[in-house]
Amino acid sequence: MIVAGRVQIPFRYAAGAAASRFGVGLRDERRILGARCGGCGRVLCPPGPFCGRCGAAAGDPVAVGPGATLVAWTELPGRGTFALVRLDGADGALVHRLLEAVPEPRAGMRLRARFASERHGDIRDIEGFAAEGAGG
Amino acid sequence: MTAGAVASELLEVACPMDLGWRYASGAAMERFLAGLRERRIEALRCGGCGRRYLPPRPLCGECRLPLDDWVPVAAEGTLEAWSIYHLPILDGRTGEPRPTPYGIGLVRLDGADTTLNHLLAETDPGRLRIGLRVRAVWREELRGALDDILHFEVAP
Repeated sequence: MIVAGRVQIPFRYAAGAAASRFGVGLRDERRILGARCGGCGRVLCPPGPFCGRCGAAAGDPVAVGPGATLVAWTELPGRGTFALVRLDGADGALVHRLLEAVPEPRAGMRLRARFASERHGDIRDIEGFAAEGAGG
Repeated sequence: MTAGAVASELLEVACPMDLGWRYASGAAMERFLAGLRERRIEALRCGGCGRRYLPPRPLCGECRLPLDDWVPVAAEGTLEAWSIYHLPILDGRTGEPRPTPYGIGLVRLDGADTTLNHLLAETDPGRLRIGLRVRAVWREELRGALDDILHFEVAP
């Protein structure tokens, strides 16, 4: 006999100051905000409270994207394609979804963030990345 | 906080997780569950030490002997330990947080030598004590599952 069960774990976490500013920018203005490191000048996106490389506190918000460059990608069968994308104006890359509008990904290709029509203030407010000029 | 970094609004991010599982009950549990559908509770008795296991298990924990001697157990028994919960932990039977307060007890059914961990209808600590007589409350539509017994209530 097979015994089956299922639970919904109601998990919520406090985003913190840096990720809150990032989330509000996405939600209210469809703007992607990074933060310039006060020490080494790198632009972090998504922004954290401090720079992972030099340890200095992150400084002023900087708008980045929505244009981006594809760095690397992988396909998860049944789940879509996930990619490392480098947003214009940002150092480093973030992991996000490649939309179906990218039939043949290649490293270095130009992408553009597509925003979700319903936004709640987190990274999912970006629906994914599509080839630049693909519309949407 | 850093220069120019005051957030106008602090956000919470909701990440509900959906967890499902399936497991094979094993032969002993399968027979036990099938019995529940007919309001029949059975324990497995060890041929070596005579210990009657409920819930049933394939081997005796003391003698390591395989168990296959089924014996009837009453739907009434004795409360051996209890606790009242005020934390709404997830209920694997509904998938939702269980409304508080609720009682959990170790019940030794008449005819068994081990205790069954189950829910209690009574949530007033003033009315619970070790040694209290309790009885099973059955679901209206039995389906051969662990929760065919909804909970235990204080026996009149």
